[in-house]
Amino acid sequence: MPKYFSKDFNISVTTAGQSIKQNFELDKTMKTVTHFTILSNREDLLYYRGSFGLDINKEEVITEGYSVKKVVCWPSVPADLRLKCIGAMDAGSGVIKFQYSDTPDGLTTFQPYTVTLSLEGERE
Amino acid sequence: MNRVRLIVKDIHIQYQGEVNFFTIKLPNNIKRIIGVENDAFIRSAYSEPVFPSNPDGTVDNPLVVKWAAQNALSLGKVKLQSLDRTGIFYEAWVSHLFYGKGVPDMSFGRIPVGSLTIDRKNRPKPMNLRCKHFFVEGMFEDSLGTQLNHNMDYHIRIFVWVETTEPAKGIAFEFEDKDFEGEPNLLQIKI
Repeated sequence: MPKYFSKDFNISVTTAGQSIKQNFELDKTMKTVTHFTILSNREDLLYYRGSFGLDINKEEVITEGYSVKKVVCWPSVPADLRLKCIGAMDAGSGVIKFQYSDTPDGLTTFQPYTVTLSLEGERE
Repeated sequence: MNRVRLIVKDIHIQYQGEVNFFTIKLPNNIKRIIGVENDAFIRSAYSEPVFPSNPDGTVDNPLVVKWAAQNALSLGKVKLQSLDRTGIFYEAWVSHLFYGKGVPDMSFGRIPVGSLTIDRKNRPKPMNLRCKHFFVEGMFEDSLGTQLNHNMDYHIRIFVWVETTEPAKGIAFEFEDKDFEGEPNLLQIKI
């Protein structure tokens, strides 16, 4: 039976309209990345203001500017269905490039918040 | 299936009743368009509307308010056209769903999930448009500013999912699978 991993990476959004590009690294034992999702401690701000891009092992998975709205689900969605499936991407060097943009918005008042990129996949 | 890529087009709307014509450039190695999505970012101050049933503010039926309050905000209509197909191949009202809305009123039992909730996973509108040309033309017409009778500042984003001739390299999005059944099987109680 394959072994799975679940790994979270956090970034902090401290100013309104901030655009963040950050590289993360997976452990060498991670073989493939199969699912991802984006979470936050302020889901309303993430939902209204967030857009992102994701590269795994120098392969573009999601182009920068994709709305977080298209990824988030209510908790009523079963836990195993909340994550977005991306097939079985070779983790390779394990370099994850995550770009997050906060868009000023007329519906919310900005407060610093944390954005979490959650990845799942298979490991050795 | 080959590698699927995402094309993002951002359109900025500033004026009441504005009509914006735009072009979406597609990659040179495109085979076909497999799906289209849209989204909106509202920059102007906007408060969530209250829906009184009558002009004087009185409410006849509280149930009407409960359901009306779950409506999404319609910003305008987007249309896309390609030289590879006659007529308009994608036409949709761009909606903005308020956070926390779309959760059904539980006082009358569980209801089926609607099309404007995030009570299930989001999927692009499926499309099978084989492309020989490397661009798509589109237009967006504002209706929010027209309804409110003042200028509204917002961004519309069009997301076009395209299949290219590149090898997939293990990437396979769930909506590529026609038999995908990601939606929760909800218990539906008849009222």
